[in-house]
Amino acid sequence: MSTAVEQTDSQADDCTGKQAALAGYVAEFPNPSALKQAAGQTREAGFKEFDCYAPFPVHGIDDVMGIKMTRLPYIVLACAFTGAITAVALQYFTNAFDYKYIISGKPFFSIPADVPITFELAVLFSAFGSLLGMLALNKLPKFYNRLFMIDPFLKATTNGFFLAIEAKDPKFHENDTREFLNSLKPIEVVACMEPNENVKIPKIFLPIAACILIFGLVPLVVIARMRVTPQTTPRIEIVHDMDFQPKLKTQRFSNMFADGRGMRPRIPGTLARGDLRHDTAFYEGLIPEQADKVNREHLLPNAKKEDGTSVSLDKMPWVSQIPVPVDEKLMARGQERFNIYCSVCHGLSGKGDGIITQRAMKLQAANPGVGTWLLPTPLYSEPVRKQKVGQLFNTITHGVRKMPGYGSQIPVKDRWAIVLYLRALQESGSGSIEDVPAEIREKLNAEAKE
Amino acid sequence: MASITTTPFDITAETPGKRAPLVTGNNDYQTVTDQVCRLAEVPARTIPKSYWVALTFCLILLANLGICIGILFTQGVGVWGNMSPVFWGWPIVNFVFWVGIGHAGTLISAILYLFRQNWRTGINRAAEAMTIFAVICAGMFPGIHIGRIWVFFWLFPLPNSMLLWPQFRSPLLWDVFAVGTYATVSILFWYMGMIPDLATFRDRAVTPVRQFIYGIVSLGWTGSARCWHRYERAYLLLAAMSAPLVLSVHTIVSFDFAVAQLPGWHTTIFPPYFVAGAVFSGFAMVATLLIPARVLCGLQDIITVRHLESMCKIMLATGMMVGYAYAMEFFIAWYGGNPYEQFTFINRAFGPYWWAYWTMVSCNVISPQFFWIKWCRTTPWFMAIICIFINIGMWFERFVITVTSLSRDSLPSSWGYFKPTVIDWLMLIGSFGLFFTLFLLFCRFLPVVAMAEVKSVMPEPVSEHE
Repeated sequence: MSTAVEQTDSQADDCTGKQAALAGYVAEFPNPSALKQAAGQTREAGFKEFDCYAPFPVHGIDDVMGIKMTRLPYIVLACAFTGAITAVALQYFTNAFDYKYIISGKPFFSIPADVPITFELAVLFSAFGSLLGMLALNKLPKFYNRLFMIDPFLKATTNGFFLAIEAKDPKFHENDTREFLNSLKPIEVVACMEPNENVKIPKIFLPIAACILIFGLVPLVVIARMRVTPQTTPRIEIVHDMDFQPKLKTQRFSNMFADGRGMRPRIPGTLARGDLRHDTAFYEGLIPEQADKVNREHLLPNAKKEDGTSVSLDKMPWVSQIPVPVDEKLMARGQERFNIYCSVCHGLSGKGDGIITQRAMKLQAANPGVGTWLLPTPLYSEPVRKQKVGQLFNTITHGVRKMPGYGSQIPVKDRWAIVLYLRALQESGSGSIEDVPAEIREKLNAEAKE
Repeated sequence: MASITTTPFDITAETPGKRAPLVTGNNDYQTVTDQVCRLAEVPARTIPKSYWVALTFCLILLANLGICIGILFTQGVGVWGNMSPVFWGWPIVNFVFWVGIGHAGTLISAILYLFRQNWRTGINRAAEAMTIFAVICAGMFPGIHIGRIWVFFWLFPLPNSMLLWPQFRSPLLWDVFAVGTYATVSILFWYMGMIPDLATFRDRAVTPVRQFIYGIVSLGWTGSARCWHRYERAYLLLAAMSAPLVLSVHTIVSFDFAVAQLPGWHTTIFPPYFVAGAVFSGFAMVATLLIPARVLCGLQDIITVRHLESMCKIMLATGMMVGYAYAMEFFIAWYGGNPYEQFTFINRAFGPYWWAYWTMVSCNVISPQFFWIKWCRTTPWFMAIICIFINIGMWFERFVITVTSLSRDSLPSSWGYFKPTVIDWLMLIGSFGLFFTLFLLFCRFLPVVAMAEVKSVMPEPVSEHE
């Protein structure tokens, strides 16, 4: 660094304009302390439009120069609140208002779950607020600055400490101010000129910028237009998603297997789902060999043939043996199920005196001409006794006349258990005293007399 | 350039009661600037050969990463070893590893700034740059892990034709916001810190191209005291916001695990444990980078042994915090009385992944203990070895947490053993290529040291004027 104190009148060299006006004086100082001292003296001398330039923030120079506290913290605070409110509003709108959906039973809008994103967005917004706010308050970016025209000023970002007084300051005077600056013992004082006003942006610049802007908008306009125009052609698939999958479909050829079929035949000895339903004796009470001929529609209550005549259910190929193993357990199960499902109408003995029947008959007797309740056929009557077990099963499954079907409520095996119990009821309801074993007869007689 | 002479004996290490200077040698503002700008200003042919060798090597690794990503995009995520029951394999391990590394920069610039630790000035720029590059590496892994890469924008709450929105009650979405915010704020912080130094580059530029580019990016900075006033205020505000941010990011990353109900993940210690681990690994990576970089860039006078020693102390402290967390996890598993939790931790240390667990413990808990010894803290080559061990250990920590917990979950019939594929390996190596390439380019094109901040902690030159 030069030790000589120079006082250069560099008016002609440092400025670009020919008739340039004086913009101010720039004085260079050797170190931060000297700059700080000079700044204090400049302020005391009554200058307002002056500034100091240093490669790093000089401690305490703010107070010496009388720089007021910046408004930046308030801007950042406002940004932080904006960010936090944006985050809460975004989370409320998206997950609790516009598209509600339940995730693991969590509430749609929950403050604890919103905290992380609220915090992050508050920080994000305030970070932009501090950088952009700082730049805006500093009037940056400002790519042209008349100070850059002064050669010594290039040191301001390395090791130069400068003080500049601007000509627009009311106390500025071309010679007095220079004298004043010299009295502060600077390394040198340089005059800074206003830029040459003839230097302007070329006129061609605006039309070119406008053209670039307009052409730049063309793709956006095309995309916007395409989005709202219905198309008859299939869409262009850049990524196929799962629209075209390399998989084998039914009835298609495939090289993968020796027989050339994409579909695979069933492996011998295996069953497909629903195959067991082919056991018509168990599931429908029909003899398997003849079941194919039966029109299943005819099994429903009050079915009519195509010519309008009633279907004779007695002629159907019903099975006459219960197709499940019969034992005492099944009988007990049948009794239990009968008492639950059937006895309310049919009565516990099958006579047709269940509590619903009794109540219905009472109501019908009190209001003649109202009600359509039919007395259930006693289950031990001759026509019912003659029916094969298959038909009884079918009646439980689909119902008959006014009786609804119970197929949807009672499992298949339980229906057969009820059929078995029905047979027992029929025996007890139509038999004579001779059917009872001799040793129990006396006991029954004794009970009857009491 | 003036030749810099440093004193032959070591005056830079910390001794109790006496602070070592932050800038050594007979440096003034001019020579500090010259040193920092040197690598960015010299013509390409005068750059040390070691730089070109390193850059070529890193570019090869980067190209390898590009190829791996190409394979991944065309073949799908099946090219990785992620397989039932370990659906979160290396991509997530790498993500957490890199995000953790990305914590040192902002910690140095924000928290150490708030604590008035002046020694941060020498290393903060490089550490911030490292942060950003690490976050880029980190963000890449979940980014390419989403399977259908062409709809990556579904991560963000953008209006769409399906009228769907992201699910804000999920930690995975918090992660998107946390890492996104962290990356953005780190870049803003980094850039703001660089504006005065970019202005230095602009003013020193000798070619019009450099003048133009650095002129644009320095935004017309003059170093005006009025600007510095607002700048310092903005820096303080950013630091104050970044300090909780840096703690929040790894906390939220740890929620990815802690909010799940898997034994080994579902623990409340995770947030502080992850943050301590992040600072630990971040400082290790800063030291790993700066020990060679200070020689490469000729910055031994600015990034002195004192700086390295301070970093060692932080590593020692955070390393012990991490060790405490490892011990506490075991204690709570026993004390909590949950047999599944107990099984997970015993399985971690003595199960099929015992080798990973003990690698982690020896690298993370035992190796930093060397830093109790002054010689170890002040010998750069030895530090570099320890730091590399710490980096390895911290990668294994994430591997242990992710893979051991998943591979043996509550359903023994689905237990498995994770095997990485070649692509897994090449991608991990490739991510280092990306990281180091970016760092080398940074050294060549941007100010590696915050010159303005270093100058502000240098002793004032004696006035030649009086």
